[in-house]
Amino acid sequence: MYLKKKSQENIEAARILAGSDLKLFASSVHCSYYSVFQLIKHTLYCKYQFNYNKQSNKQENDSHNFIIEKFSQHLRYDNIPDTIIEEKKRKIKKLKKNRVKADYVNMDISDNIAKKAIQTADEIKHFIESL
Amino acid sequence: MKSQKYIKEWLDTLCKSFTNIHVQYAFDKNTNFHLVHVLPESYNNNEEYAAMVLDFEANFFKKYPTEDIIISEPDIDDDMSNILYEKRCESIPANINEDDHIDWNECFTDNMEKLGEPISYSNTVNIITPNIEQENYNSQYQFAA
Repeated sequence: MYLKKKSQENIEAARILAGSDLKLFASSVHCSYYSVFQLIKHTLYCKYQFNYNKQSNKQENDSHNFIIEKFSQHLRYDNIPDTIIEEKKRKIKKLKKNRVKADYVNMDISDNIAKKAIQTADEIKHFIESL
Repeated sequence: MKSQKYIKEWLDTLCKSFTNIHVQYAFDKNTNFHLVHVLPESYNNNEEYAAMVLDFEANFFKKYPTEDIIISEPDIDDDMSNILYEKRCESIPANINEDDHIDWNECFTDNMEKLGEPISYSNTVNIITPNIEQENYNSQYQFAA
């Protein structure tokens, strides 16, 4: 349950960081992404019995892509409509791209990007809770 | 990059599978993401299209696990300055035989000139009908040809 708690902490941190007091938008995007990523890992373990050892077995690959692909694969096994899976996956990947921009690219991260990231994180959370 | 060839080949297949589709593919060097924009957005609600995208992404991950790709509707946040591929495929009008000789480029040029936008012939145009609904596309797509 630790990852679920960390995921919740990260989304709360994302909101505080993007708020008018701090305006730390890049850090906020980072937290929004990890909130989603941690929740997906938790779901793979709790709902799909894909344990954490297996989740980190692919060190030679991009471990994040591995987790996102596994999640998508399990949703398809679960007979979730492909249009829904494709939509959620697209949003997760856009969030991942904005996290890369926020952490590594020499560019400004706007409040709009940070707010969109929080929105996406909330949406993915609601989707996962509905499974 | 081998992955770019793989993506382009799949985009050819995608264009053959769906009518009235417009795709743009760019590689964002800042984030190292392959970005594919697909119009119209209504394909997002098409189960066959979604299945094809998910299958492709799963195969892409198997072949290129460290590379990232996003296939989406056009997004102003995406840096599409480095276009590697573009194709617009429209349905063939019912009264025209596919084998008839038609100068599609000429038809297309007429439409583009009416818009007063720059014309580029650097990219591939597959099958273009004389009735191009340019207003359905964002301004960045008015360069498409």
